[in-house]
Amino acid sequence: MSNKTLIIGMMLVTMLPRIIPFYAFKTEDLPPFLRAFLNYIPYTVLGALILPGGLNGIEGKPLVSGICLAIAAFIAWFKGGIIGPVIGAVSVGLVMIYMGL
Amino acid sequence: MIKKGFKDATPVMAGYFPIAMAFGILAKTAGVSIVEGVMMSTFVYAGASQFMAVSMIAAGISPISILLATFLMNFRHFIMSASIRAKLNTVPSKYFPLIGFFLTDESFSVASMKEDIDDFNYLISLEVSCYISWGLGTLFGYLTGMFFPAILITAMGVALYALFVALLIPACKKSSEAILYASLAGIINTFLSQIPWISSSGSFAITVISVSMFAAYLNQMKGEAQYEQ
Repeated sequence: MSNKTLIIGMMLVTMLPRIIPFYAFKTEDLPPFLRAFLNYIPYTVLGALILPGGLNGIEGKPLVSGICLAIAAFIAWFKGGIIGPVIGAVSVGLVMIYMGL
Repeated sequence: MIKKGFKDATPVMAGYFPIAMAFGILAKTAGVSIVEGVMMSTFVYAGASQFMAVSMIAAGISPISILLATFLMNFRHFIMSASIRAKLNTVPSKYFPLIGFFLTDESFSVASMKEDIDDFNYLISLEVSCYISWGLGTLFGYLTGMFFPAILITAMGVALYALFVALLIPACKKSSEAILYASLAGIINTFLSQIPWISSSGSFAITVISVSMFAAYLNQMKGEAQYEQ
């Protein structure tokens, strides 16, 4: 198998799980339980994306990563927005790495 | 709505670019051609599994194993697509393949935290903006090699996680359910990831499905209790 064939194969196996669910049901036909289940997905996805992966955001430095995320949470809570928390977290991370933490 | 989609995508674009650059650099050092490297980012478009695939190609691992690993790693998007689908009422079904193809953890997270996403122009401009950043980053990384100082690349590693935090916090301020179930998912996922025979994508899927089920179950119980009163 050439690399290009492999890439096409990879495209198919990643694409299908992303597309098939769109045709699996009609929103208005969903029973309330499933509708509630799908509505909770974004929260649980975010939780599971942040932990534990976020603690390795800055590779091999869980404490520094954790402090960066706490800074992001602090800014998001008191000032809101997305760019602010992200820039805050990255800058604090930069300073801490620079200081050799 | 196109403008709004682009605007909401900017933090993701900023986070994607350096990671995609790192991918371009890895592809080059692994001996993958520039066309194949960019094809990975534009055809497959699947973050972590691209890194894995390139390392596996370089290590001479069989294509079938690479395909299987890629499938298992990205199967989690199945749940995210279903969740997005449940919020679409007016978007014509002919657009579904596009919305699905461009879906990522990040575009899903950004879109899901918005009130009204039942709009194709909004979704596709959000998603394609992220996609372009990923593709250009790959090309740029491949062509230039290391461009940003290493310390900046390292610090940027936390950017997308900070994005997830910033997306989650407003929801937590509004509802105690968001903070409860997101924390529960984070804790369970952390716990499951410690188990050696469960892969990280496996623990992610188990966590998201079980905690969401639990949440929906409690929600139903609450509804029935109110009904009885």
